[in-house]
Amino acid sequence: MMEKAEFDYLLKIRDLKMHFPVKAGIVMDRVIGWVKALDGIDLTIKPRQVLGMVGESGSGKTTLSKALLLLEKPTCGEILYEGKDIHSLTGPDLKAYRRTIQAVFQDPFASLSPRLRVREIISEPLEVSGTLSRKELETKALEALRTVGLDTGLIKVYPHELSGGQRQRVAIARAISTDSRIIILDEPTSALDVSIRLQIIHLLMDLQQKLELSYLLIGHDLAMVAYMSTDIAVMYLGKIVELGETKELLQNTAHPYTQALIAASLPDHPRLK
Amino acid sequence: MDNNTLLHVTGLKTYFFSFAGTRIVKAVDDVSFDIRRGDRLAVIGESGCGKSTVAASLLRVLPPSAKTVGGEILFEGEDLLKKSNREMNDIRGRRIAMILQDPMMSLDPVFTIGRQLGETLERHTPLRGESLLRRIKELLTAVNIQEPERRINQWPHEMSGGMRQRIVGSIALSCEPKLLICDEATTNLDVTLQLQYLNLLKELQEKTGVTLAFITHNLGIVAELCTTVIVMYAGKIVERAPVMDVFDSPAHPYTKALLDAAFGLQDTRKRRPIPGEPPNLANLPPGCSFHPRCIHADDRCRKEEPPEADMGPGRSAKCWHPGKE
Repeated sequence: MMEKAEFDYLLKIRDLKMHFPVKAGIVMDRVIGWVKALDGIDLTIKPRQVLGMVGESGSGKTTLSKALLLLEKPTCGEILYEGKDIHSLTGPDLKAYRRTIQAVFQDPFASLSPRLRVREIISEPLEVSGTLSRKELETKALEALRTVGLDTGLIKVYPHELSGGQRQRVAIARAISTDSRIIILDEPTSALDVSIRLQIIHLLMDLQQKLELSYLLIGHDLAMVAYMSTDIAVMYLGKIVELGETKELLQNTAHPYTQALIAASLPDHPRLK
Repeated sequence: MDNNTLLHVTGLKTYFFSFAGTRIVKAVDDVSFDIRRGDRLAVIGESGCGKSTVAASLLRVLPPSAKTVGGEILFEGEDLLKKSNREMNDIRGRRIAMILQDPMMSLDPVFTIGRQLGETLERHTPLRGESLLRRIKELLTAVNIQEPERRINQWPHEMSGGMRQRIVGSIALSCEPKLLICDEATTNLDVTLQLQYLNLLKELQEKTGVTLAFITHNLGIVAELCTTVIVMYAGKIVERAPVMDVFDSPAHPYTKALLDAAFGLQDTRKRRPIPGEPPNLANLPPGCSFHPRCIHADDRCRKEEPPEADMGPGRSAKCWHPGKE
């Protein structure tokens, strides 16, 4: 990993707002209101932090991850990476940022192109940066495959030949292949079988330690998020209503919405309900 | 079979056949179980273990490539496999109803909520006109839908996911079925809504006496409200037990592994993953299907299929080493 000027944060989000217009009319449409998907988010992601993010559907979790991935431009506010707003990055800085942040999505059946072989899937984000030869790309892809515990022989196959668990491992290999530092995990295990889920979670936790990664873990299962995260942010209607260290947050819950989430969690044992 | 048994399934076999008939996938292979009246049964297991195929076999709504090739399904003493299609139509929706995972798929987008509720009622009951409308409003109120008069004329897309799933529930319960099968009915709902929905089902059971069968992979749902549990693996029932026994002393290694791999807020110990991959039903290992992933597997497990071991009242496990720590 390259050493750069030291910042005590990886990403600093300041007063981030994302408002989507609600339109009425067909030809001469006019704006009749706004959906405040994100409404003033302040958040810092530190190195080696696993930040869990919980909240119901529509609370803005995915919108936030899209803003971080430069897929949506915020209405106002800024996201700082090494002192610069990511939405104003250009040229090599932009490319470097894109390599730094990667994502693993919920459904590995949808997130891997069915027309590409595993080799191409994993090396595609590297190819874009354009500095590596074919051979180096191959080496990198093999290395990533080994890191996620897959047989290197799978480099030649297409996604449809893989099981759900293997596909998700390929998606993870793609996310780490660029020596990324932050990975956004958007419900990374919801689409997986119960018996595979924990394998993937343990893999992600091992990688986080080994490669010193930061995760932004989005999930709706509080128990799973709590298992993985060092800190948890609770989102509700576009705002972060509570943020704290995992243990602390679960034991001394301040916000009523967090309390409701904990109360709605299903019991581990019929005697505990 | 006594009068308390609502459903009695013996030796059910449902196979999928490839186009040319050369390959057979035994999705449900020699499955036997009972459901008692008023029970809340859980059927758990990973995807592809045959949970949903059992449900589809009961209702006889299998895809064209699948066929039930053996067994007996006695529902209130009548063999469903011997019924004609016409007779089955009178059973589906009226005596056995089902709620599926995705309410956007189970509601028709081009009919109003009222029409869809009315359709089932018109098919199975003599209610028409004013009395039909009254019954629809009653049903919507029962699932906590506010302002039923207004909702009747609305479309599925005007409702939230939680509301849609409650409406699906009201359709399922509209003809007061004896058995309601919930196939991953809360998987698409937010956690807060999930608990609401489960409580609603419990409440409706207390009111109507309907027997509930939950097909799920979420052990939390099992702990929250089920009374008996069936664990399936690779098309077979591997364990059957009252809910307390399953959580206190799981007899089959697979059940134990599932419990060890589940997350809990109260129990925050390090979890232990289940090694290996889910089995390929078209190519099952010899002997016990679970042996490649089992920590207790020995030579016999690799060669011979285990029998069903009796583990006391209402309990059994299909394992050579049941209850081994």
